[in-house]
Amino acid sequence: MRTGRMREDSSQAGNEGAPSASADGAKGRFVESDVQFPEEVTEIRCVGARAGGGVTVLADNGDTGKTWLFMAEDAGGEWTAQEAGLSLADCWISGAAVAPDGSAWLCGSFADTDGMRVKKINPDGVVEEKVPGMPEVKERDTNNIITQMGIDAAGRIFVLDLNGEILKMNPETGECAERMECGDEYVRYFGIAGEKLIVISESGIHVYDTAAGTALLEDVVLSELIAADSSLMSSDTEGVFPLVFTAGMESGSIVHADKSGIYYHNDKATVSEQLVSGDLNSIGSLSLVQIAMAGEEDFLILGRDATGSRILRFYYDKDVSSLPEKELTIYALEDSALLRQAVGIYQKENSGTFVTIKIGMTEKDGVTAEDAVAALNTEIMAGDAPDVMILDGLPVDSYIEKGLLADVSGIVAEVEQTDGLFGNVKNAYEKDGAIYGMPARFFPVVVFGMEDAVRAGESVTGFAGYIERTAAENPGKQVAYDLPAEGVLWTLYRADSANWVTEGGTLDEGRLTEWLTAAKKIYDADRDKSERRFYTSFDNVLYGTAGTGASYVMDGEALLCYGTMVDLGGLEMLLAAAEKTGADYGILGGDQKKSFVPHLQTGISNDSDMQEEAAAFLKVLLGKECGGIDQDGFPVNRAGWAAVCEDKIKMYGSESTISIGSTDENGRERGFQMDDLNQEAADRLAALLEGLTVPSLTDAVIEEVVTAQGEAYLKGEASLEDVVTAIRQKISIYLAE
Amino acid sequence: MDRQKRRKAVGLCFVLPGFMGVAVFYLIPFLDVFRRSFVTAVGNRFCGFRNYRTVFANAAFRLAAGNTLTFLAVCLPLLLALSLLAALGLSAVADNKRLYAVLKGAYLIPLAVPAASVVLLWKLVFDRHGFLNGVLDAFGIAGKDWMNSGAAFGVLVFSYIWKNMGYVVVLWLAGLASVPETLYEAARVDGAGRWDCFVRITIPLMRPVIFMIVVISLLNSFKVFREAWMVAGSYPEDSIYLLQHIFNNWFRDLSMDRIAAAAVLLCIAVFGPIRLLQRCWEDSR
Repeated sequence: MRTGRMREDSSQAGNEGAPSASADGAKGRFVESDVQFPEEVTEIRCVGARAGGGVTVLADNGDTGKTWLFMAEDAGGEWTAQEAGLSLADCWISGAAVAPDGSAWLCGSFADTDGMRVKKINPDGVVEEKVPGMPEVKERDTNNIITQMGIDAAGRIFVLDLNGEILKMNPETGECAERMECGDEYVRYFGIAGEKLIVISESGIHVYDTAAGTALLEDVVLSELIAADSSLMSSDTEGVFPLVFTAGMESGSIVHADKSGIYYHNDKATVSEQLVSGDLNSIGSLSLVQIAMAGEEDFLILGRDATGSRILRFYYDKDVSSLPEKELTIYALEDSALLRQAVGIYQKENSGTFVTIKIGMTEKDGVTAEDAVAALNTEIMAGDAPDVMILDGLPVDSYIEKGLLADVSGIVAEVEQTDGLFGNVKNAYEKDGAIYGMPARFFPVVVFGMEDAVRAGESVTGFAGYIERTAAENPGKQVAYDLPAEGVLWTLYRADSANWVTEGGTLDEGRLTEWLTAAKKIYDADRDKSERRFYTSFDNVLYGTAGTGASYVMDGEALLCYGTMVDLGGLEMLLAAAEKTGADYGILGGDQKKSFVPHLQTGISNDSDMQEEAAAFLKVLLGKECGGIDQDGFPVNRAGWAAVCEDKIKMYGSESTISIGSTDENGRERGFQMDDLNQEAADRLAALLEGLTVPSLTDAVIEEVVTAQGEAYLKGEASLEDVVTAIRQKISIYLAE
Repeated sequence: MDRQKRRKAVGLCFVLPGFMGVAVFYLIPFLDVFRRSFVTAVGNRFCGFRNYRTVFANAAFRLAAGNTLTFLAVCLPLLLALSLLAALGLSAVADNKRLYAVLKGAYLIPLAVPAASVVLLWKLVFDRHGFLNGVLDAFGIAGKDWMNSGAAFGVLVFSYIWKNMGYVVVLWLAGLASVPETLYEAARVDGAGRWDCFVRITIPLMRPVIFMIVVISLLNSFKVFREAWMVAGSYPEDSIYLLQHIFNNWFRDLSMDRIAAAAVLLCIAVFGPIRLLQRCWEDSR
């Protein structure tokens, strides 16, 4: 391992360790590239190194049922495909791994068999099936299954079962009778590096010798890693892990990766060396599945993001500058997976630019929005303004007034010319021909219910009246998929707040009073059925509530629902529920102005000396590739919208339907058949989105004042008059400032 | 002469390190604030008195300045009077050393209580569903939202007095102790009563102490913002919206031009009267 060079790279790792420049002209660092497979491939299952050199990848197409083993001697070289006699369509795969002999192993339930099976796909494409003999599940009446699979350097197969125990599988019979002695603790997930089994259990991280089955000395590096970040302890999403492992070139060494990058340490080390920084590439935006070494200083990472599964290759390029020559700083009040994906896309195209993402409020530091804005302002006053600012939650109007933000109308026009934009969103941000901040995403608040409910939902007050009447006509019946007081206010604020501002820029008190009254009616309609309240806590669960609510309507547990719709998955859920119930959806509110919720509103600092790079990043964020990701709102980019529609229609509208099942907070199971999305439905949504002309109020101070006071009113702790007076008094001071 | 010069130079050497600290951390930054009060927030272009005009025209600033002045006008005399009374009372029991020590310590306790704890106490007591309303309710009296009504000003005044009284009492006690007992004895021999002694001996001899107490109390009064902000946030009830609130909120909006102009005005408003007071008392010596 080139530790010297690694150290150079590790200096790029943190947000603080920005490069000054490679003044000495030093060359060489890890660079990222996407491993390209034929377009037919829709899912990549596993990746692994072969014992004699070279790598193997198992991939398939869920529609055609074709499965391939892709093999290459060098990850950057040519890949040869070997079709396997196995279809993975309509299968549930719980674990997959590549063995040192180049075969791929899969476990899960397959369309042609009952129960759990293990399949071995040999390098020549021949498939062998085995029935895994599993111990019984303790204290539960259910069949045991394999939840994770891994293979060590000697070809030993290890699986994790529902008991949280690691079992050694007999490769000949598939029998999983031999239990690894990892103590009595429930194992959350594991990794394999050479002949080391790395077990993450409730008490921390423990390393075992796969050959002897005995515990090894504590790995200080890994223990400290887990101790520093408890989120690495649990694997909440099936098939993806916070930490992935593989063996390094040096005997006994471990390479591990998490969202912050790829690290290496040998068994004598007390600290690890960062080989690749997550800030510099796409790792940070991926959910990790596996890592493999394709050669010395050549890594393959299998991960998933909103676009599906991908393999990223990180290889050492001795010809590129050891440190990027430029640094682009992006500031956002809150972290965003989509922003990180955009940075990844930008980074791939601009490897000579170092991107630092500064997040104002992280889960760890407990900083309030006000403190974060104050800290940002201090930096701005010190002449250290970020080059690109994600303006969500920031005092945008004030920044524009102070001349802090550059006019980005030229960049927006360029993207519009190339890909097309939702003109209604662009127009909402155009002032005297200039645009100082443009959202990359937007989404609506919708109502889902029978025709009269949707019609009533054209105004928040009408909707409240409808809910009140329906509650009276249906005593004891849950009317709306309900939210806690904060959730009601959060959602209705986004639906109606654009109507509160008068032409003179002041707050329309009458309209605000009507809104509070409506919110109270909506909240009270189901208040006496509080034991059925679906959400008991308010914690960022309000994005995409329309789709979730639709499932309750579909199951007859609520008559209607309202909430945000932030992706086509949400639309598909509404369509699936509509198909069963005859309900429909429409925009909530907007009898005067139909509003959208802007997201990732982005501006460029006027003082930045990286104008060109900042513009390039904004183009990526507003661009087609980023727009083709179906999450965190709908893209303003029309080509991106078309791409995401095409992709989802292909996925949801295919003959093989997708079922999505989940369990709610009360333990009830619910499921969807996702097969109703078609071009017509997408076009209808596009037409609705085009009709949204103004952004909802994004002023953090007004929202905080209104929701804090409004909550007291909804909960019956204050009268309407008192609340309106308090809001008026506070907002008038704010506006007077 | 040379000797006098040398003495001055030595004196300067002693003063210089302290002065440099004051210069670096206060004087030079204030000069920068003064400069900023005449330039635009972004771009640093000279704009004359525009920032001052903007500040004077700002309704929120006028409200904050008015509230701050009212607060000072109510709190300062109240604090000085109450603490002086307490100090005189304590002096009267000075012979009982144990009682004296206990009472003096009790007065100082609020000073040691961290602001965050005070705020927590406020919230428990003055909340809509707090202790005070609970007690009032028990007596059939309707409570109110103390921190979101005009009563908030009273709560703030009470908090200021409660927090600062102990410190001021100690200052008064030090001042009272500095008056020679022989003067009182001589006055009493001449037939002076308690009131005469207080008016003709205590007050005149304590002028420097009174000046110091007024200045310290005035400066401490600006610290009450901490509690007000922690309890009611950036936009409290009208009557407790103070100058520091508007400074804080302007900083969030990056209105450095307005902050600079308002800071200069505040400086004049605070140090002008202090200097005037000093001159008056120096002249009356």
